Amino acid sequence: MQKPFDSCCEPSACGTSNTCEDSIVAQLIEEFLEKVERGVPVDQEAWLAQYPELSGVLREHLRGLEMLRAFATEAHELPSADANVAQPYPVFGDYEIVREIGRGGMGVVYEAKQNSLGRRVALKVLPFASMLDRKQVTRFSIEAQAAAQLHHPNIVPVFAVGCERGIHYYSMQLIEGQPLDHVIDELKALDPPNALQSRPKRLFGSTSSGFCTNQTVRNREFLRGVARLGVQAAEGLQHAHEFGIIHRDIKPSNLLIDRQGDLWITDFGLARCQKDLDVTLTGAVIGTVRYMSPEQAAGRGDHVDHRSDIYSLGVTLYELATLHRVFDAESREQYLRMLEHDDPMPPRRLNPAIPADLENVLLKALSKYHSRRYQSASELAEDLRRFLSGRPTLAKRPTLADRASRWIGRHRVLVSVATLVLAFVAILSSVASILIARQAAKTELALQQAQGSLYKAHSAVNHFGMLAAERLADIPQAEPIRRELLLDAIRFYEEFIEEVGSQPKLQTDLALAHGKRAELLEQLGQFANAIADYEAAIRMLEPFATHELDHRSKLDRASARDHLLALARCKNNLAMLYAQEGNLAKATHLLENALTLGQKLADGRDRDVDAECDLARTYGNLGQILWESGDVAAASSHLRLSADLLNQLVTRFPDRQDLRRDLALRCNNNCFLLIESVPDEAAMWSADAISALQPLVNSDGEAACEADLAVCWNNRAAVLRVKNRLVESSEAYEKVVAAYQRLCRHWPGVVAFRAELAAAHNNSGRVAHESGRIGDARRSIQTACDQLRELVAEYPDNLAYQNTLGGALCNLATILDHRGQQNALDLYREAIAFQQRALEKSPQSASVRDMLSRSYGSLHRALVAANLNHEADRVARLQQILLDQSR
Amino acid sequence: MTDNARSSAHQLLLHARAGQSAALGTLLDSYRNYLYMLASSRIRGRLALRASPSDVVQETFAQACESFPQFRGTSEAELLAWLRRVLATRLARLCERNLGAGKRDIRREVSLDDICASLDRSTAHLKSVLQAKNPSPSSHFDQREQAVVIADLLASLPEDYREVLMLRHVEGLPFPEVAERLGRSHGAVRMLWMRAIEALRQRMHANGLV
Repeated sequence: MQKPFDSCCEPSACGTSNTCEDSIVAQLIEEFLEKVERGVPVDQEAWLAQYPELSGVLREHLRGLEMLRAFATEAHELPSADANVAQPYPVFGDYEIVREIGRGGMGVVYEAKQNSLGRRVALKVLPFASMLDRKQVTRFSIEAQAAAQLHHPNIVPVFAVGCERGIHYYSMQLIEGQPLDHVIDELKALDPPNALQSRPKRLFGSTSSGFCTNQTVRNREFLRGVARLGVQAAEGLQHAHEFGIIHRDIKPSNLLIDRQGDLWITDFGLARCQKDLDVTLTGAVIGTVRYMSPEQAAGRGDHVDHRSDIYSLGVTLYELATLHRVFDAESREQYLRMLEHDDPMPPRRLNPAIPADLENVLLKALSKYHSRRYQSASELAEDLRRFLSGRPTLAKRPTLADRASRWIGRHRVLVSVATLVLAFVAILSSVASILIARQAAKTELALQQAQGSLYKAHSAVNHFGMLAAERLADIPQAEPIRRELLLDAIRFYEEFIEEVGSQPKLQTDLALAHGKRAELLEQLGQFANAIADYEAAIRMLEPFATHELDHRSKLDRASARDHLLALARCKNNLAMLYAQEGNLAKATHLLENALTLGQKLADGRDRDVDAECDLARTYGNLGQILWESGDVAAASSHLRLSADLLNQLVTRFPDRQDLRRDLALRCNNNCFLLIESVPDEAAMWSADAISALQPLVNSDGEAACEADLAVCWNNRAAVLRVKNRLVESSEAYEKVVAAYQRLCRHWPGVVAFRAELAAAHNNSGRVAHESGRIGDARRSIQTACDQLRELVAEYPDNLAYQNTLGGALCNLATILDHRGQQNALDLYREAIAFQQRALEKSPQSASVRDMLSRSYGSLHRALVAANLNHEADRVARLQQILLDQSR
Repeated sequence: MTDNARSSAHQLLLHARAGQSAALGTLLDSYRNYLYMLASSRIRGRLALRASPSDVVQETFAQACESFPQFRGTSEAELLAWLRRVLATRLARLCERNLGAGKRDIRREVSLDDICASLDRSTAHLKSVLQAKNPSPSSHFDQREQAVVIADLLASLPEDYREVLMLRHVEGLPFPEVAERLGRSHGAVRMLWMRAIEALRQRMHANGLV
């Protein structure tokens, strides 16, 4: 460390260097400085290259200047202590600085007087730390130009852009008011986060901004104010977006509220002109992470578009409405993880005064995927206006839809084709029966009659509603019909619940209706609502849990059984919903509860199939949850109990085909669950599944069963492959291929069958390859590729097809590569192109990422072998980036 | 400051945060030149005759010692930013004292806590830039510390060299104005500047900075 200096100075001359050269150097540096101070972008390296013999010394001088500049930047951020009162701040070209208004990452803003025009302006000064950075200067001038062409009542107008003594600035209209971050801070000070009750308080003095005086955030009028500000901000953004300008740094401090309460967007300082991608696209993360969209924060620059601004505005409005951050993290890493994976806390939990519609709008703006956000700022503005005028918003609960699609992706129900006409008839008749119920509820006798028809209606609605839901679940084209059927059925129960809610005699019917509606809501993916309904039903039915089943009258026994059965089923279903949310402990507890009830029913005097069927299902579910919890031994024994029970039922009721199908599915799922951990057991289950299902296919050849059988054979083939019984595995795959070929012929409209057929060809090819039958392998995988190519061409939006095609192409390339064929490289490249596209659409998907990474690896090896080292390096880098991202 | 000095500064900071006042003293002392240079570049006009930068630095140290428990940073860069804010309040007070309390600026009313809070935000932002995929080689963070290095170098230069460099490069004045301030001819100032930048270059050389 050096001591503070005082008078101990050295002599003021350096005799060692050549004075003549010094003066040339000095002159060159002066010229350089002069250029930089005029704001001319200078390419330092090109400049140095002009003076090769002096470049060493010049470079050192530039380094010194750079350091001085860094120091100057800090000095200029300090207030100056100057005795000259008339002019406390320097005159800056045409501008006389009056006072500092604020400062941020991109510079200091002053209030200034423009002498030539005699007007007051806001002057933003950008004290570039590295004035020698040509790129930064170029970027600034492009951005300032971009901002200057925007004229909109919600965007602060830029008057002029300039450079004075190397310091860049631009002048803007002076907005009297305050930035939104100050507003939020003041609100927070008045409304501490933990305050349960808050009285209306005065917010700002009369001189500050015109927004929300005498309000608190727990006030409806305040929240309408938030929406109005949102409309203004969105309209300003829409205008900029129409010019191809993305703000990229929307946050409270960049939104000014004037004294009339109107909003102005400022600081398009980081905005970049989309036409000049080459200048600004560096991949470096800029802006404030807290307000960034997930794609922006992850540095995926090429994914950042105008919808990123919509996200940032969503964060801002969320903060204003709740006074909480969307994600509260300890570290940047944790924040990024939350940003990528966590759903925001619903705003209404933070501020119950927020209306549901406004919450939906906020959450839609905050969708992780930009395709699920508002697609334009004007859409957001329009929806906020709908909220303000009391019309229903377009935004629905987005997180539920998200969860539903994720869930459907994980639990692929076997494909089938439903008998739609029947279902429609059932719905119509059941809705009609409600009318009967209303009429009949007037006398005791009529009530009993009505109850009778209601039970019928219930079972019809339930049977066909659920049937439709299950059967149609995996047919993309049938989705609208499926939803409609389910909604109809839900409406039926809704009307029923409303109708009987107050009639004490029908309380148990009410409980059952809640349970039924919950099942339907679950099918629609409305899991939160379903959970609420199940819980309501369980609450009402719980008193029956302790009732004995040995009533003397058979009628009483039957109704007691019905209640117990419904209670057990509700618990079973609720458990699975909790399991889906990751709450395995709660799920296990509920399932054990349901098992106790189920066993009580099975031991009772009037055993019936439905109860035992449910019991078997609960055993199976518990087995599955135990498997997910990692307890494979306990899982295996429960899965076995479930299958054993179904086996007994099939033996007792040989004509019941549905039982046989349940058994087959159970065995198949047992195989699937145990395939990795206990392949021997899995192989046994797959054999059982096939033998249970085979008679059904032979008897009536129904599509559903044939599809089920194909899946069973597929699992059989997979388990045999794991056990390295390749010949048998190969034979099994042949059966899968044959089954799907038949299904495709009979049901040409069901696209899923075509995709499964292609996958079967691919899998068959893989086993052939492992068995050393290279020719067969190539033929099978080639077929798979051809079929997948057709699918991709027909359904360009389906990323699963693209990803699978990428995988198949990569397999084909590997085979050709081993044979030393030249076109392997092209196939790898093509495979990667498809996989990259798939990843682009689904950046979160670990399996897509994983497959792409493996393709990179294969291509890299092939390139190295072909001595194409340059491209090999590039591919290795891409793979590395991918690995870094997934970490 | 060399790497050694920097790592020892970091050590000192840790000790100081643990409550060792001797460590804090040594640490602050190592920024004396830096703060002096900053202060001297901001005290202007008539005030320069009445107030010396050394007094301001001394007051800054005193206040820094008193408020140090409120400092929550862990890096040298954060400490520097905090010290600059303390210096800023001292400079502002200096103005008030000398100019009377006629005009009160709301900015000067902010408590040190607020300053720290806003500081935390801005340094968090800096870190986020640094941890980005492609940190630019001359990121803001480095320059902060470079500023300490250059202040030490400037302090080691003869006074007239230092003065000309400060006026030309820190205050950003063109040569004619520098000449006016120093009361010398334009040619003489240019010659002085030429020697000054060469001397600076040689110091940088000697310190292994280029």
